[in-house]
Amino acid sequence: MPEPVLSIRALETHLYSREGTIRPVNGVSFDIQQGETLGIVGESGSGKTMTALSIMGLIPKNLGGVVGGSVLLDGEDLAQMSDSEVRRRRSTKMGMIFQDPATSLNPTMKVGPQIAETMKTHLGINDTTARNRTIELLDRVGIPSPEGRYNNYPFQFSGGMRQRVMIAIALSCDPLLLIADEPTTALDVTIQAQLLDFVREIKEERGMSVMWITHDLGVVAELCDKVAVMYAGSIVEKASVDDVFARPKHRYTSMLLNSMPSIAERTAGRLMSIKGLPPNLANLREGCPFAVRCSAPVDRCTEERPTLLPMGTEHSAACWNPVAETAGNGKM
Amino acid sequence: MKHYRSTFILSVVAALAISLAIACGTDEEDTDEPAAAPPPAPAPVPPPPPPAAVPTAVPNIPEPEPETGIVEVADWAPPATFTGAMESDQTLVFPIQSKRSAIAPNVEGSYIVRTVDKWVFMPLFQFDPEGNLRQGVADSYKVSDDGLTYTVYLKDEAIFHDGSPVTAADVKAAWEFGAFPENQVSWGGSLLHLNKVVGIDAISEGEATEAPGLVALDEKTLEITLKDPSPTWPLEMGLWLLGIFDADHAKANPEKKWQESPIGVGPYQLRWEPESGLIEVTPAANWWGDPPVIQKITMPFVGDLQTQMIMYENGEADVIFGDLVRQPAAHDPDHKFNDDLQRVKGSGIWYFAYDTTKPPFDDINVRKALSHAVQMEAAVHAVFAPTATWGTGIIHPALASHTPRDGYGFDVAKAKEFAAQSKYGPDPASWPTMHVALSRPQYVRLGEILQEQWKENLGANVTITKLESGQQPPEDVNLFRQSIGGRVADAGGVLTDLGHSESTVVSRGSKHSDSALDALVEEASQLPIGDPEKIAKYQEAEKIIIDSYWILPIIFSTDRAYLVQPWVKNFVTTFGDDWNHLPWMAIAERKR
Amino acid sequence: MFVYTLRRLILAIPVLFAVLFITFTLGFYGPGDPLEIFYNEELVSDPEITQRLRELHGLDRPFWEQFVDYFTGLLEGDWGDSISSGRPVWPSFAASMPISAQLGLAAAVVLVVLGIPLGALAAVKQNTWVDYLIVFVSIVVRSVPVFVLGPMLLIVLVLWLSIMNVPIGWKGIFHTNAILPVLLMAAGPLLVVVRQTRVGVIEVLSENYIRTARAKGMRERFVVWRHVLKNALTPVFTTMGLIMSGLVTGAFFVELIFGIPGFAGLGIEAFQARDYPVILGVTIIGAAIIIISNLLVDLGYGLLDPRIRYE
Repeated sequence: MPEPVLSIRALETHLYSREGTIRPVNGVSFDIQQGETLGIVGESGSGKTMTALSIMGLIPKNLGGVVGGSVLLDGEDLAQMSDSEVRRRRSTKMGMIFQDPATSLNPTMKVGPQIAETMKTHLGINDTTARNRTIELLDRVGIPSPEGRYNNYPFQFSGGMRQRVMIAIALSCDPLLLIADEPTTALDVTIQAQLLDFVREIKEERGMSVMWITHDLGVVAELCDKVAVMYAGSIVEKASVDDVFARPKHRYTSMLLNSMPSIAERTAGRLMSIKGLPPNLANLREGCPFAVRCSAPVDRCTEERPTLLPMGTEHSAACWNPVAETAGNGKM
Repeated sequence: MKHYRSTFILSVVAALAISLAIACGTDEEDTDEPAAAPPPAPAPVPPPPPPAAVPTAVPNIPEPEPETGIVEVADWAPPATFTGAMESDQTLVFPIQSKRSAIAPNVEGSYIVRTVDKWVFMPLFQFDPEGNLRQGVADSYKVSDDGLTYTVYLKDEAIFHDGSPVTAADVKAAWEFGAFPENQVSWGGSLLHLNKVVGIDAISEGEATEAPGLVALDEKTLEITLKDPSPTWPLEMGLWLLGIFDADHAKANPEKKWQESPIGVGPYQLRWEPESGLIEVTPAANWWGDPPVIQKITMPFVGDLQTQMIMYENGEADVIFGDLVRQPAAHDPDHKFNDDLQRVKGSGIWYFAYDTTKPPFDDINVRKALSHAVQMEAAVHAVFAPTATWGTGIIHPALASHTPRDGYGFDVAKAKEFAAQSKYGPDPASWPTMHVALSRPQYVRLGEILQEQWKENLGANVTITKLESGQQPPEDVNLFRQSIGGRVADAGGVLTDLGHSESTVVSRGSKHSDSALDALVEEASQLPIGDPEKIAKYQEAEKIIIDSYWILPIIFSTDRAYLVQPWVKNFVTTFGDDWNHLPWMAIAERKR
Repeated sequence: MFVYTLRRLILAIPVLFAVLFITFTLGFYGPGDPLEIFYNEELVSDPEITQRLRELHGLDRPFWEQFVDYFTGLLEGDWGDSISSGRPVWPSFAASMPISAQLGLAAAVVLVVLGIPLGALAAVKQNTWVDYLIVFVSIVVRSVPVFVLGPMLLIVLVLWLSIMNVPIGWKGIFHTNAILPVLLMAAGPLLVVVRQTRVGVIEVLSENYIRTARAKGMRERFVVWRHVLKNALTPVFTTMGLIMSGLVTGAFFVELIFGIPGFAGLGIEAFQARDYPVILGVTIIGAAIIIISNLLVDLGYGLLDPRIRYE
């Protein structure tokens, strides 16, 4: 297997708050291969976004930061780098798009220059070249009459177009990895579909790796090759998309799937909700953090924290009482 | 002006004159207020007058020559020249607190320009530091037997700053110009004195442009006819308000433009920048006497008194105003600049006046009760300075007719006794409203102290209204804070202002009426200056005023002062705040 | 934008007229008398001369006659004569306005080059000692009134350190004498600028588009200058009124302390002397300056924020 584009090991991030230290990312490890799309799913507050920000080095210093583990991007450990070294790898090696396209662009700056300045910063190209490339990019991401739009302000764009502009920014320096933090959440369904198609297309065109954060399993099914399920700052299950949907091992994953309309229809015909609330990350108890909400806890669940255990080919889950094989193809 | 047309005023006010005419506001800022005016001048032969000790002043008018009747006025006797090491740059810096609105001798009410006025706009005569009459533009005069006509002989060598000779017609023109309605000021200015001259009234009322009472007999002889005899007229001719300038130049430069570089008479000439406020005084090219030592006096506008003190402490300012109101700290004997204080001789007094026409002050027992229920001396020392001179009487200690007194004694029992006899009832708390309006912070503080004592000792409630600058007092005020000053060393002005029923000051203050006192003051004013009978009458008048409890004296205005750096030599000042020996002043090496 | 500006300027005319009318009315009916002003409680002006001068200055005429007379004079460019000096009013305006304008502009430049970077720095270093120091110092500077701060600085610089003389008078904005006055004028409003910038920057720093800019790999300095400041300045701009009034207050004391013959000092003198023609002129010009600066501020919003358009 080739060297993964992104390889994260035991990543740990702390945030400091009045209530004490919060551990939103608590020993996360995963790999993303070239051209591969990894979906990160989980409830709000499960640490998905913090994981992404930890990789990007975007956690404000006064709030906290990465305290342990490694983040190997293209063979280099971002966790060991200085701020400016990390900064130089943004855009060039990793780009990121965000949840809310309405607020993610500078409202008082024309759209074109917001894209162009990225290339000028990293590629050392002059204004004219940057401008021409920006227009090409705008065209590529599907903005009509890109030359005229270059000088428009963000408020003159629709939500979907703004997200395309964000993508143009993220792609401008041809990164190896695109991190997308729920980029379609704020968009309506048709726009969302268009955008997903577009991302898939561009990913294939460039052979880019993608880390797609979402709580929408439908999007995962449509876009991703692999899935990592996060709960309380840890990955509780990792597998290929097919495995996760067909053979979820962790009780949480399975409940997540059952709370999904389309899956629910197929299985029980009734939508399930997960009772209880996600745990307080400032004060994690011993044992499995999901134990209190779990439908089938065993004694060990409250005593010892489960680690990721292999549950099949490239399938692992952190559960002392995994879901039993239903379709009979559980290769241990 | 009606009062002033009466004989009484002529003689008295004027006469005494000079004394204190309305100088209200001795404590005012550098704004226009007239105040005491003394004479500049180098004392005769005897050595330079020591600045400190203030001898009791008796103005001295020379005796006429028996055969001709001409009075020869002595020339200046310059002080000893300073011979030590001098600064090469003889520029004296004198920061001023407010910008002047006008530069003209006839309206000069501020203490600023008055310092140099008589060396820039020299009057016919001048005063030396002891109050003796000295030569100015004229050197002698003659008075007719009826005391109405004065013939004044101008010096042959007297010239304007532009080199042209000063003629009798020029003096007439300058005085008349100052009386034109558009050149007047509301407190009177030169009219306070010139109104005695026949025909000036008509000019000031806009009905004439020439006064028949002023006749140029020839180039150098001016005949002045007064409406009534006035023993103090020779002294008045020495006042800065009657200083001489080129009226033709003034008329040729309208809208007061002429004031920016007026053509005056004397060793110094003056330049004024109305916008920046800067006044610069430099030696005049055309002057018949010895050239002065100081080559420039610059008066920059420095509105902040603390900044003035910093400049002084840093040696950047050679002279600043150092009176109690402006630089109170310097009056502390332990202050490092206390020795630099050069006190101006004063003749005025600051006081409260009870409105005797309004309840409850129409009852003398009320006035007595209030006057004895306060510790004025302690209040004065607390509010102004421990060295401030408590007003124990009315006639200033610097004047010949002063009598040592103890003021109204502080005696609560006595005060209560008086209160008990009041027609408004024995309980002062139920007396009609007693209301005073005060503006300056010192007076507000003083007022509050007295208010407290009246409350404490008598149970009397006195209302204080704090006035903003320029705000008119409320209608129902019946207790007034007033002050009067004098322009010459004679008690007549103060007594007239405070005592005579027809004086403007009385009409705005106590509003009392006492014909016996009026007659007494009028008689005294007709007596020659220095006459023991005159002094006796003054003292009698003072006693009447005190015993009538019309006013409650606060402080004698001795406390005007300059802070003068020790390197400024031959600095002498007297009643009018002017620098008597200006032409002989010098700047020694600037080190302490 | 042109039409908008024109409309605003036309609207200013009735406002100026109202200011003129109100000031005139207050002067006419309000307490105080320019001819008795120097006497305060002493009141020793001569009633006859005072009456004569009142007639001479036309102060004895009915309200409407005086007002119409002043107003028509104004339309012809005649600002009247000062009552206290008898000299025409306009030359003193013409001489003092450029001085105050230069001081004000210089102080504004100081506010911008000092206040905005300090505020931004405090925000970027939020809750560190740098932040605390900047905020503390600007609060101290703000809480000490100019009339205390000025003499204090003079005592320290002139008397203790002996590094300068008292910078008295006006010798041009580029003369060293102007340094202290300008800094003092800026001292008052500095806190407003620092605090508003700090608040604005802190707020903007938490905006998503700043995260975007960082995610793009922009240098932090560049992020602050290019993405933060312009957006953070809008709140600073809204306090323009406060800043202006701070500058005016500062101007009064500074002109007093340093003997600078400026417009503020002129106004104060006139108010103290109840010199109506000067008061009216100062008020009208002051109102015009405020109207114009408000217009400029509003137009400035348009430059700062493209979403605002004036039609």
